[in-house]
Amino acid sequence: MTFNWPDVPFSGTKVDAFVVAYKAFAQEVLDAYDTEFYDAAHSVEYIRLPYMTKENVKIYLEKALVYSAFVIKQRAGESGPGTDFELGNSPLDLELPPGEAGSLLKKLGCTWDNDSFDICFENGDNDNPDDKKLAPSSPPPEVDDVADGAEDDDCPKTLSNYRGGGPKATNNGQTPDKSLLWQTYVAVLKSAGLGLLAIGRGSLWTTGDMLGHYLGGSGSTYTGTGFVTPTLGVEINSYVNKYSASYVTELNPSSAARSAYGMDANDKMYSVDFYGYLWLASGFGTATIITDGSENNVGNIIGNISYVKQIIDDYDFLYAYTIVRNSGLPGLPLESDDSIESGLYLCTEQEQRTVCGALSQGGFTGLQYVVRLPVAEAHGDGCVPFQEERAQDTGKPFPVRIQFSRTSGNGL
Amino acid sequence: MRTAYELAGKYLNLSLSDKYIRETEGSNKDVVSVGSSIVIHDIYNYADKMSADPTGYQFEHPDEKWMNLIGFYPDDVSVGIGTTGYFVGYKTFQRAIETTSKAMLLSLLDGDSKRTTTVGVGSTRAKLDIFFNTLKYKSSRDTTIKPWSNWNDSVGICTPTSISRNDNVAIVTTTPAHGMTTQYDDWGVVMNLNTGIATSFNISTTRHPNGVPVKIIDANTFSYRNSGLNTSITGLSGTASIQVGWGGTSNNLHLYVY
Repeated sequence: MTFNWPDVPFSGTKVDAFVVAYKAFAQEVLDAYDTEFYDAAHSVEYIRLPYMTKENVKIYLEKALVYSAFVIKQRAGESGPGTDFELGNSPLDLELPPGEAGSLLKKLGCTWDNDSFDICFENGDNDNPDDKKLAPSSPPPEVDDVADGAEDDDCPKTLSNYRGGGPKATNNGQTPDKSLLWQTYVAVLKSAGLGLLAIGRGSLWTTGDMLGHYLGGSGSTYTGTGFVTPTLGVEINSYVNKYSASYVTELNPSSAARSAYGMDANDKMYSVDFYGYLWLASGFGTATIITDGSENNVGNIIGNISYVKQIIDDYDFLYAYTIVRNSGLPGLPLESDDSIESGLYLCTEQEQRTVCGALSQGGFTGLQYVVRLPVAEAHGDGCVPFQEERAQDTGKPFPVRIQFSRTSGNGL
Repeated sequence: MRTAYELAGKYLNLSLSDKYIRETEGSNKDVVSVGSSIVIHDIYNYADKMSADPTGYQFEHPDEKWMNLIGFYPDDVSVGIGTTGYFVGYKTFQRAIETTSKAMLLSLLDGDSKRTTTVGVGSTRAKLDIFFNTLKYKSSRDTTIKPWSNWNDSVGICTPTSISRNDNVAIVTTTPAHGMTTQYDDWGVVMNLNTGIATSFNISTTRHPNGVPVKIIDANTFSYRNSGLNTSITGLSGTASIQVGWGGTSNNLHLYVY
């Protein structure tokens, strides 16, 4: 990934030194990006949204160069344009190519007064058909405020629904039933996920689908969805190869585990931290994959993985219900001595916490808070013994075992 | 890349239609000149001239509220839009550029990165830590390193004795002198008045952790933008914390498009 740097129309000792340092450090940022986010405590989701992908950061770094240099030029009092509107005093001229100039003039051309210029410009891009479509209704304000980064450090100290969790029990029935809200949330996730399928990402749709599966309360093993699974397999394959040096660790499964997961003699098993990409992190966190073993590993260095055959996980939470495995294996149906309990952020022997307190315990705010809110609110405050008959209200964790066939980009 | 992003990436925002910017710029130039050809004048500066906080969605388009809610941002904004059916507004894009510019200045420059032009001598690892620390959500920040270790530090406290608001501009008189010199235009203030209607002049450090920009009138008087009813109060109780930000009109980048 190489930069396409714009010309910097300023000069001087300080500016020149800064531009050299800027470009060199920008390259360091890109080089480091793939290894910067590697576990739950260093997840990419702790970075604000616009900066979560290397591709966007590269664009922002390119576009920010000229203005950053201008700030240095002004501080240093060095020469160059951009300081006034006098034609004879070298303002920063922008001669737009025909397409951009046409678009701008079209925007300006509505009505010849300043306010209308502004409205035309801010109404969006005339060549963007998406910009003119019917606007969807806004998210509910209470959710929207939190998603916008509103951070409230003051969680209620008192457990409001210790007598039983679930959205209908929240605050002893005094607050609205939010189950419909979270169903809408699931639908929006999956709708957005459909859009991403076209560009090779199945993780957002799958995350929405798994969230819906949790809230539905069946607890059955999640095996993926036919039309999404091939794309998800390719995406996971791409991720593990991209991050194999940092976030992928080979495991040595017992013969019982190999048998239980149906592994062939050459198959290999790995633990993968998916914290380098938001929706893989949100759906899987740390999970186990099984490959066909054709990769050529040398010591701890993992070779190119050709085919990811399975991904295995338990979909459970520290801030909602969690699966406690005694004899069962992740990704497989629960054994008789496995159990479902309130997560440690909500419930310990020493302390019980509210939903807000549990999410705050995890350090989640803003977007991180919102994406975790549906399962935490379904569970409710404090220790809530899991009740099968209330699973449709409280949600239920489940094993995840998605098997992938060979497809272009994953084994072929 | 789509046209709207190209324009935003070249810092175009038609900010001269903003009355305050036009007045503080002190120019009689308008947005557009019409002569034998069309020339568009514009000015670009950081939208937030005091804060180091990273920006997110600007909610210019309704899609952005949903995308923010579900935590979705296109992998590559330059090609993702249009193929995904979701629209990221140009303001969001332009603010992200500003945040990145600030993160680079904070990472590269010496000290607290204010007023200096000297590239620091720290290790690449240390600079990377600052860069990513600047882009993190509040709850995930390392407050022991830049920018959060020192960016919002006060550089002094002064005592307001009277304050008035007219046309959404507050004018503060202090005794003794406030201490801000006209050598710099990067000053800001966090007002913290204690009683009655005077509290309506206060600046929330939740929203403005490093205060809001001020304009120095003289040694004892300064002004800042503050919405509210026109009023005038004397006999104040409270303080004004003096802050330093990125810079004011000196950082106005003048643009021509023709």
